[in-house]
Amino acid sequence: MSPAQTTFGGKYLRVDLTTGRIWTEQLDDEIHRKYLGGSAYGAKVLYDEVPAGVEWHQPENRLVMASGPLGGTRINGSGTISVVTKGPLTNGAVTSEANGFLGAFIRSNGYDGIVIQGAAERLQYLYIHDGRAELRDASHLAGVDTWNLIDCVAEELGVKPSRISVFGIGPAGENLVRFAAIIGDRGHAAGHNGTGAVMGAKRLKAVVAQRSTESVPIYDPEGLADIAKILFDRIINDPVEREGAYRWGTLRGVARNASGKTGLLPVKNYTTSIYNISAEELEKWDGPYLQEHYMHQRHNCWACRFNHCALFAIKDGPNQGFVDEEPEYEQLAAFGPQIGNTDVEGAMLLASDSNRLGLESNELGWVLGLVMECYDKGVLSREQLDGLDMRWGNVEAARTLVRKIAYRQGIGATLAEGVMRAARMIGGEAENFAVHTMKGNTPRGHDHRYRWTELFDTSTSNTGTIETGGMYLMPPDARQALGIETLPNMFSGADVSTFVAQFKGAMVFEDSLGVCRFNTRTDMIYLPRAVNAATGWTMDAQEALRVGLRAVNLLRAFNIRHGIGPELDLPSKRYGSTPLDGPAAGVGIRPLWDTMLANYYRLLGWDEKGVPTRATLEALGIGRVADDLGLAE
Amino acid sequence: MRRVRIEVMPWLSGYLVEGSTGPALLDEYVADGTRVRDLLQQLVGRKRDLEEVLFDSSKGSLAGHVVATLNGRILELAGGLETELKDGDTLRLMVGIVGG
Repeated sequence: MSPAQTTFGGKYLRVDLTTGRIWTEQLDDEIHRKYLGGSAYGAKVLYDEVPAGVEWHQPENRLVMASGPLGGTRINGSGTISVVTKGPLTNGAVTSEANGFLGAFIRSNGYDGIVIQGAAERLQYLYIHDGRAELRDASHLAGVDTWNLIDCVAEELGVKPSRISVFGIGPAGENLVRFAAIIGDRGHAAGHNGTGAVMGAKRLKAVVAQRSTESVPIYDPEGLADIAKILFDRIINDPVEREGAYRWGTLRGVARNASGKTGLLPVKNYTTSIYNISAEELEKWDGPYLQEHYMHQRHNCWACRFNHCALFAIKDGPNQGFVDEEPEYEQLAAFGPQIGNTDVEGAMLLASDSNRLGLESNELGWVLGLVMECYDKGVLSREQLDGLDMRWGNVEAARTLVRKIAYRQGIGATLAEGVMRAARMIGGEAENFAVHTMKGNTPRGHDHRYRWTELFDTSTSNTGTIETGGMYLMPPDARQALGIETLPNMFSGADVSTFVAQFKGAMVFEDSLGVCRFNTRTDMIYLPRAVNAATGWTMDAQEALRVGLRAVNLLRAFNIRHGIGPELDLPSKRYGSTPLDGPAAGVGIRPLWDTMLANYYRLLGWDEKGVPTRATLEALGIGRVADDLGLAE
Repeated sequence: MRRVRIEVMPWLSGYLVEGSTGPALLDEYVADGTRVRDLLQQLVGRKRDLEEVLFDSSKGSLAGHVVATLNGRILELAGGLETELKDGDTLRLMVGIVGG
C-alpha cells in the first residue's frame, strides 16, 4: 500500500459544546508529518485557534486530547493521551500526558484525537463508539468522583468497564479548582496546570471511548511489531531498567532516596533535606512491604508489560477493605515527606482523596506543605484554617482540608487557587515559603535543588511542567545519536543550561506519538523508525527532534502573545533557594541564573529576551509566527 | 595506605555482595594518591557487571541514575571522580530514583 495514496492516521474529531456540533477533520500529509499528534499537534491548535485575550475558562479556549501515530499499536504502553490547552495556573499553555487506554480506544475508532471548543449549557459527556461520537447528558453524574465514574458510565451504557476508557473530572474540576486534573482508567492523570478546571468550565464531565473491533491501520505491521520487540528487549536487557521501573515502577522511590539520603525527596516544603523517619517506619514505605501488605494487583495499561500500575487494598485496621490505585512515587512523596508525614497508609489515603476528588497531586502536596509551614510559623492560625490543626504530618486534618479545597469551602476557596495565588492571598511570609515557578505552576515531587536540570527546565518550560525532562531513561546510544556525549554535572550552571537546551524537543516529540515514556524511553533511534513503520514516512532523528522543537517554539510564541514573558522564567524564592542541610547544603542555583538563562536562550536560537528569532522559526517551517510576533526581517 | 569505607545502597549492593538486598558495607585499603575514580574501577575490576550500572557508557562519568556522596557531600560538590581519597573517607553509592 503506497503511503502517497493513503494516510495512516491524522483524523480528528472536532466537538463544539456550545452548538453540539460534531465533525471530523483529516490532516493533510504535510501537516500530519510536521506535527504527528499529541503535544505537537495540540500546540498547533492552541497557537492557531486561541488568540490573545481568550482566558482559560472561556468557551473559545481549546481542549485537545490526542494520541498519535503509534497510539493503539503493539508498541508497549501506547494507550497514552496528551492533553493540551490554556491552563489556569500559568494562564499559558499546558501539555500533560496520561497513560491507560483512552488513546488506544480512540484510535480504534478511527481518530487520532479530539479537539473540543465551546461550553455546554449543562453537564455533558462525549461518547465515542463504533467510529462515531455523540454528546450525552451528564447531569446525573455531577459530583461523581473519578474512581466511580467509570462504573457509573459503564452501567448506563450497558457495557463492561473493561470495554471503555473514561477520563473525566471529579468535584474539583466541576468547582473550577485551579489545579483540578483530568483523571481516568482508575487513577491515570493528565493533571498539570489545571486541565480539569478547563474541562469543568466547558461543563464536560468526561470523554468516554469504547473499544472498537477495528484495528489501527499501520503501513508496515510486521516492521512495527519488530520495533516494539526491540524497544522492550532494550528495557529487559538493561539491568537498571529491569531492576527499576520494569520491576517496581516508581514504588521504591521514597524509601530508596530516604535510606540513601540523596537529598532528592521534598521534605516539609523545602525547609530541610532530611526526612526524619525511623528505619522501621521507612521499611513500610518500600516496594516489597507495600506489595506484600496491601494486595498488589497489576493493572497494566494498553499493551504494557511493566509491573508498575496496580491496585491496592487495605487488609486490616479502620480502613479495611478500601481499594484504590496503588500510589506512584509522586503521590507518596507529596503526602509523605513533603508534609512531614511518616505514616504510609495516611499517604495512600491522601493519594486516593486527591485522585477521586480530581486534584493534581503534585500541586496539592505543595499547597498542604505551604499551609503546614504557615501554621507552624504562625502565619496562619487555627481559626483562619476553619479550626483545623494543620501541624506537620496531621493526615486527618489534611484529608479534611483536601475536601474543602475540592468544594471551595471556607479556607479551601483560597487554597483552590493554587500555591502561588494562595500564598499571595494569605500574605505575610507565605510568599517566601511557596514552592512554584513564577509562571504559576508547581514542580514535580522532588527537591530540585538537588537536580538543577529539572529545576531549570520546570522554571523555563512553556508547558506548565517539565519540557526537556531528565533524559535519564534515554539509552546512551540514543543520546549519542543526537550528538550528545556526556551527562551534565548537576551543579554546573553551564552544564545544566546547555543540557536542557540540547535535549529540547526530544520529549515533546515523544509526547506527540501516543506512547508511555517508561516503555519508549525517548529512544531517538527506534521511535523515528517506529513512526516510519506506522506511516510509511522516512523520518530520521533530526526531523523527529524538529517536530518537538517546532512545538516548543509555537508554545513559546503562544505564551508571549498571552502575556507570559521571560521575566517569568524564574523559580520562586523558596523553589530556587539554597539547601540549608543535606548533601548539597550551601550550594544554590540563583546566583548563576541570569548566565544560565542567557546561555539557554542562545542555544535555542532565541534573542536575549527569550523570543524565538525569525531565523529559528523559519528553519522550523513556522516563519509565519515571526510575522505574528512582529519580528524584523 | 588509606582506609576508605564504601557504602553501596540497594539495589547496587547486589552487584557487590551476591544476594544482598540491604546495604553493602566495605572497607577498602587504597594506596596514597588513589582517586575516587580509581577506587570505583577497582570495584569494577572485581565485579565486571558492575561497570554498566555504575558508569555512563560514553566518557566514564557516573551513570545518570547514580547518586554518589563523599563524606555526606554530593560527589560533584566534593571534587568529583578525580578527588584524591583520604584516610577515613566514606563513599556512598545510591540509585537516585525520580518518579512519575
